[in-house]
Amino acid sequence: MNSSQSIKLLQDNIAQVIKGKSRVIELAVVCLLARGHLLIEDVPGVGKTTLAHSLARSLDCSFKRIQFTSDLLPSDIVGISVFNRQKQSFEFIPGPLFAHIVLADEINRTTPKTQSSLLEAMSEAQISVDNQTYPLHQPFMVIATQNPAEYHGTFPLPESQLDRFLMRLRIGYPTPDEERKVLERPQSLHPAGELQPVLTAQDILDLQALVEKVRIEDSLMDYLLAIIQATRQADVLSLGVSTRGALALTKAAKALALVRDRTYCLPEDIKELAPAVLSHRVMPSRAQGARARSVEHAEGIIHDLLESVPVPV
Amino acid sequence: MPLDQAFRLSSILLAAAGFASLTLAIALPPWLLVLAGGAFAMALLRIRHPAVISDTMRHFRLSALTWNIFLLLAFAGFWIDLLLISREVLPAGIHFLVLLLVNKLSNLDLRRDFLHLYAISLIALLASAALTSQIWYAPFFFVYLVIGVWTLLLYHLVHEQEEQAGLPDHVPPATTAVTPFPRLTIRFFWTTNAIAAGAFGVTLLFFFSIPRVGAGFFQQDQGDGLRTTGFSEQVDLGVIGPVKQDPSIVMRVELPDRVGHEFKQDPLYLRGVAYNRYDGKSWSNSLPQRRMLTEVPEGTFSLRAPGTKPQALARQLRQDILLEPLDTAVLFGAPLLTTVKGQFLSVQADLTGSFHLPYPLHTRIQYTAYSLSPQVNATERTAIALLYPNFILQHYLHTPAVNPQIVDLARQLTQPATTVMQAVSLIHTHLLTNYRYSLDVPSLQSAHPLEDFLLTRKTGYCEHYATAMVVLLRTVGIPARLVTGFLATEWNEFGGYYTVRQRDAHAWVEVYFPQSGWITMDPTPPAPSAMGSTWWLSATSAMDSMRLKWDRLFVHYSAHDQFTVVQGIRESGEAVRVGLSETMSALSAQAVALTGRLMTALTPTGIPHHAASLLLLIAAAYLSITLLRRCRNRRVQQSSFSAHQQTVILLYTDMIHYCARQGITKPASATPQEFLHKIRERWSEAWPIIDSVTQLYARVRFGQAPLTVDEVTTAEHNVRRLRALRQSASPAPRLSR
Repeated sequence: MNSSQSIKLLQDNIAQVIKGKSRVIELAVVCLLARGHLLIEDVPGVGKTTLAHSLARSLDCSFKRIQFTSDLLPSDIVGISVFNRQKQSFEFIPGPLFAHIVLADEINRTTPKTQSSLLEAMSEAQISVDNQTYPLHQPFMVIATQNPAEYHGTFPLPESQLDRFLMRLRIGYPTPDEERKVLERPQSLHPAGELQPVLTAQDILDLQALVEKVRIEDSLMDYLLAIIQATRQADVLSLGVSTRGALALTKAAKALALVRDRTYCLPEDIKELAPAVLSHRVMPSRAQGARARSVEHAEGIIHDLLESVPVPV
Repeated sequence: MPLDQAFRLSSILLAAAGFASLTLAIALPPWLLVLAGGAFAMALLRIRHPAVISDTMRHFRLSALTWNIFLLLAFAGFWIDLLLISREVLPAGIHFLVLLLVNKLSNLDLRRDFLHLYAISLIALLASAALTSQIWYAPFFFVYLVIGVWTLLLYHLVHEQEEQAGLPDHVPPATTAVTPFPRLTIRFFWTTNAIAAGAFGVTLLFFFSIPRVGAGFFQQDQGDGLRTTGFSEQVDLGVIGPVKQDPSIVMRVELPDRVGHEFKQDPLYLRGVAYNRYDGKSWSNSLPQRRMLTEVPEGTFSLRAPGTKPQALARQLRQDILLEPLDTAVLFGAPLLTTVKGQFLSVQADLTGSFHLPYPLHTRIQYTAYSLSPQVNATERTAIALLYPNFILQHYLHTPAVNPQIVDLARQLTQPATTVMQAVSLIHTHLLTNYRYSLDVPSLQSAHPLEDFLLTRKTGYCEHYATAMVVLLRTVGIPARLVTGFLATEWNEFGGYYTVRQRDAHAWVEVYFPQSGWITMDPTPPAPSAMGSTWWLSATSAMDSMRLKWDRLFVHYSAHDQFTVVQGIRESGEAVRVGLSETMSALSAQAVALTGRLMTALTPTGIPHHAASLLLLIAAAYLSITLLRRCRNRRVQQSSFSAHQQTVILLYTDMIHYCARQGITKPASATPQEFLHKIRERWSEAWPIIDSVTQLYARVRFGQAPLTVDEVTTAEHNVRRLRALRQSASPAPRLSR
């Protein structure tokens, strides 16, 4: 089975559950293949958790879910050292982070302390407890969700920490037809419960290695850098995209090229991914009032910027 | 036969005709013949069984890179050939040409390959024309012409068909009239051939029936040429006077060996005929015997005593003369003519040193004259008396019964002279200073024109002066003769030549010195020049020089000139070859010396000589391989796009421009895919074409994927089909943004 077939299989498997959201599924797979973490930000009840679930169930690897609440402590997710009387020593009990796919539900509900312990684990792919370093599983992917509607009692993630997520997705409401299909499903079962794994962890690692080999032609790299530069110089943004953001866009574009069965990037890859990869890394200037914090607004700004950058011919 | 096959067949036959004429004109090396023959056979087979051949040949098919290396090698081979093997430009060039032909025959894919093939075959035909003048060339030429007509015809038809091929795909099948795939019928074949042959026949008819432009068919009829005076057997004193007003051009004279500005003011004497007998009223030549000049080498006629070698032409004054049609057969040249080169049947010379053609030519003639102008040598300059040969005394001292006063005048003038030279110059000065130049002299009516001039009127023009000087000299016993010709004074700055007109007709004197020969002397004072305004003069001379160039380059361009061009190429190629081989041999001599020194240094005692040289050879081979590899790596890094890839990228941008002309522009920020969506919305007929080209473009431009020739051809074909589509044909309105 070659790479394109296995990716297709994965997408189709998820699509059995998440109806009519092929683009969202594609981006989630891109995120997985680019070794990135995914932040899903949308109103409750559109399938954020289901998406994470079905992605995890489609892979033959471990899955943990953490429901973030305001009283959650770092040790609750990382793990804790317990004294073992028989051995007369401290023994590390791994927390839920020791899984391949971790769903961090409503990440903005917990305290900054807990948030930062999670984010550290995300960027380092390892955790440190009591001067001991424990590597996390590979592949490792955090799918975090947050709810933009209820800001009551939340701790919004600061920009520096949002930067750790490869992309931020919105799922959006399904069309009436697709919604009907969802409703017609037997309600007794968990929607993702019946999914069978189609790929192993090793398959994912192999695919991730393939992503590295996707080539980006020089002029495309210039195009990408021009987009990054445009975010830094735009008046409507008070904070542009960091170098990590540029790196993320490169990785994501390569992954998307692989998902679309190519060994090279196209301008489309970069242009399509830019809103999802860049919008949470920029800060719209205060002058734009209350809607400055909305996801749609930031994505709109990125869209507008893209229209000002010429595509290499 | 299907049109496409016929087109390919005729293209290959055209190349074959050119190649065949080459093989007959020059002996090609056998391996080249085999190579070319194989290429022809392969190309012909590919027409009949394209699928079979391409399947079997897929494994042997050489890449574009290999062909490029092949061509580079062929080019290097050309230089080696030129320098070492055939040592001539034409054969070496032809060998190279055949290799180019092989290359094109093996890569007949794109339209431009066919055009290259035609160019190569044309060059082959021309090269064989330059190499041969035999009759067998004619049938090949005819065959080439017929196939050429065919090929161009088919080229056009196939082209048209491809242009239209794009349309029917998108027309609903119900409305399409099913057109049969065009085929070549026998009837069509023969009709076209007949038309081609007929056209050729008519051309031949014209070729032989209509005279050459050079012959002046459409020029004004000048009858027997320009009427001149002063060059017939007998010349009455005073005939030159009336023509001194006539501005018609007689000839143009170039002095190719003399460059610069200093000499152009010097008048140039162009000698025509000399006369030795004066009867008191008219001059005649008592030595009219002429002899034919031997023609060695061809086209060169030299005046020389029997048994002597012709004088070297290098130190002589060379004049290139374009002579208008005249009613005289005299060939003009600076005094004294020794050699004439030109396309003449024969040239005659008389005893006075004048050159004649057997009869006057009624066309413009062009010839090169070489002259040696004698000077009085030192001993004769100071001699008190000179001893003249009998022949000279007999023919050049005769005077008519002249008036005693003239004899007195002569004696009186030469009284103070102590040497012959002094006597001559005294008479010369006397005439120059004491007489008035005027054309208004009725000499022809006078019974004694000389006495009138010398004693009474003291007014006259060149003929009077010259006659007077000859008579005075002869009276005191110095042999002299009268010469008629032209005195060229009008220098054309634009063309760099003298313009000689009728009014430049002149007469002067030649004085005999036994050792030095005939010395030119002119007793006529310079005539007051009547020049027009300067800009008019320069305008006319510019016009005249243009006319001369036209004449030389077009009207009189002949086989001889072609030969000169070929000869020039050959000579310059030879010069390059000699220069290069000298440099090479000098270099190799140094290299040999160096290696020799190295060898002696490296081989102390035991190692045999050839072992050392083997080691050197291996080292050199290793070095060159490493260098080659490095060069290759660098080249791969440098050129990121191959020619095919460039072609596809150009095709894509071309397509974008075309779409923009049709009203659908691609914004700079739109990606190819986005543009494709736009096309789909607004110009759905074109979408499949643009889609396929865009996919290829994306793969090539950003994936840098290697391409097959078929893909490029298909893309080219697609863009052509797109051009056949019109946006106006689709109802999509322009969206206002």
